[in-house]
Amino acid sequence: MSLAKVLRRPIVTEKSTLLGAQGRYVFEVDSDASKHDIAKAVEWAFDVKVVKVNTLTVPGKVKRYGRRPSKQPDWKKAIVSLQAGDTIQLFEGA
Amino acid sequence: MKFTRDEGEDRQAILHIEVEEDRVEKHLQRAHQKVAARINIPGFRKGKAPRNIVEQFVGRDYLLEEAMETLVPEAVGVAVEESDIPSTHTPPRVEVTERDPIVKIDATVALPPVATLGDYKKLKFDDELEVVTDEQIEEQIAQIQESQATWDPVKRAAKLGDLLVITSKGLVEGKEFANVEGGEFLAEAGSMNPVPGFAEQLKGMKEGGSKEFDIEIPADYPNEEFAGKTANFNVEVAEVKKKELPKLTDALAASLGEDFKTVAELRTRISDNLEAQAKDGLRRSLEEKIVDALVEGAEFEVSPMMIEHEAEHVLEDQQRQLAQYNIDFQQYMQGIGKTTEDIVAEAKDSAELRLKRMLVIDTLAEDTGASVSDEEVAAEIALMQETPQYANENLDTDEARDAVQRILRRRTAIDSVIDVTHKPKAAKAKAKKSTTAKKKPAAKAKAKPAAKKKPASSAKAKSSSKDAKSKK
Repeated sequence: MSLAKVLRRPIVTEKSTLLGAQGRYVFEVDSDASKHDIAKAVEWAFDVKVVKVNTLTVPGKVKRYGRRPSKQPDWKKAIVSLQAGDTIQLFEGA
Repeated sequence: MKFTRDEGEDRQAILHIEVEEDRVEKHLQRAHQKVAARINIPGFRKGKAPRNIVEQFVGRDYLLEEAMETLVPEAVGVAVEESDIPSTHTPPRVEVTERDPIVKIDATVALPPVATLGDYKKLKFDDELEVVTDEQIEEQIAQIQESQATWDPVKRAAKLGDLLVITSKGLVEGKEFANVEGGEFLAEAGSMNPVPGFAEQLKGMKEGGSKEFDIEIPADYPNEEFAGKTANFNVEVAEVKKKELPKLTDALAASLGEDFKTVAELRTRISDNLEAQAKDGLRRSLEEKIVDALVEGAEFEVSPMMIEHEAEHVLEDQQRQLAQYNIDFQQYMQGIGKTTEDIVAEAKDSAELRLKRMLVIDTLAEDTGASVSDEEVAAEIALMQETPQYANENLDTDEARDAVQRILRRRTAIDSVIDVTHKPKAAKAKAKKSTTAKKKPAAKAKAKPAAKKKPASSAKAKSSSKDAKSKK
């Protein structure tokens, strides 16, 4: 899998900000990406050392557009733990 | 906090302030909290977004702007305090010249105004104390008698000045006009009620009598429907009452409820009151003249900012007064044919005068070294507390004491000028009596006779409360 396609966007929420303080960063990633792909992609993109990747598939919500309910696509969330001391500036603010 | 001070024109100083980073940071944090609580950032509950997220979201400038709101007044306040500029209660004019990364502020501060008094000791006023005349006393007694008068029914024919109980039917061209059913009617000569000449027609009528008569309604009668027409009246008199003035006796004097028992005592009381009133009036008119003369003869250096600030107060007072009478400010302006600019300009003029008058009196107090002891302040406060106006107010505060002290100090200063400049040219013998009575009391004894004489004390309390108000 091409590294450039793995990471979709960072997740910036209250919860992810708290995790950020522990050196763990949260991304939305391609649903087909493996933990290895994610680790490589993060190391390549941010020049840091990844020690652990946790992933989960977030089920899409059921929404109603007009008459029939439809399901939004599922997506994959990855929580990436970095080596102690490494940070990702994207989350830390410009 | 670093600042340098430049002396500007017109009793103003300019402070160039450089705010230290710690202080800016403190206010930035406060600003962040306020902003975070106000805006919605996706992914965060209100007020929970961390500083960097908020800063990214709204921009640093926005936060700085928010921080300035609290930072600037604080920084200027601290700088003014450190610069030892005495307070003038005038808000400084502030301009932020630089703000990132260092906050720099220029604050123009009004300095206390100064007045150079003219040679007020050379002023001369020859107003005389009005001597209480017997006529004045008689007049007062007559008024008391009048107020205690009773109406006694009599059998004789009615005269002008009597009170009649009448039932009257009036007709003007078939229409009812001024009907009364058993009402009291005071038959006074020249009475316009209900139409001129009505009272005169009742003259000579007796209890139980009736009479029919015509009266021409004058052409300028307020109700146009009836003006210029002839009214036909049919009047029945149920009762004729005569006004009975009570005899001036000790009993009457005692019945007035005050603590005197004889006519002689009543007379002295009235005479005392009148004298106190005259003295009070004289003092007030003298004070007025002296202050006017002082303002006239003095030279001023007053910051225009201060005048503007005072003018705002003047305008506020005006608007509050109008609001009391339920008058709309816009309507009021139209009513007197003035524009907002006129009113503002007027307010400025009167503000300037107000400031100058206060200023000359204060300068005078400084000049004459007038001083007021704590006991005198306490005595005055006790006195004020007795008047209904202040009965429910707590005057035992530092603020109230301060205000009272200032009022007393001004009074003392004015008194000392009156001593020097007031030279009535009237017969020395008479003057002597009043000046010796005046000189000794000055401020101390002044409060005491006032305590005894009711009208004087209330008049004084009023004037001092006025002072207190204009102070604020």
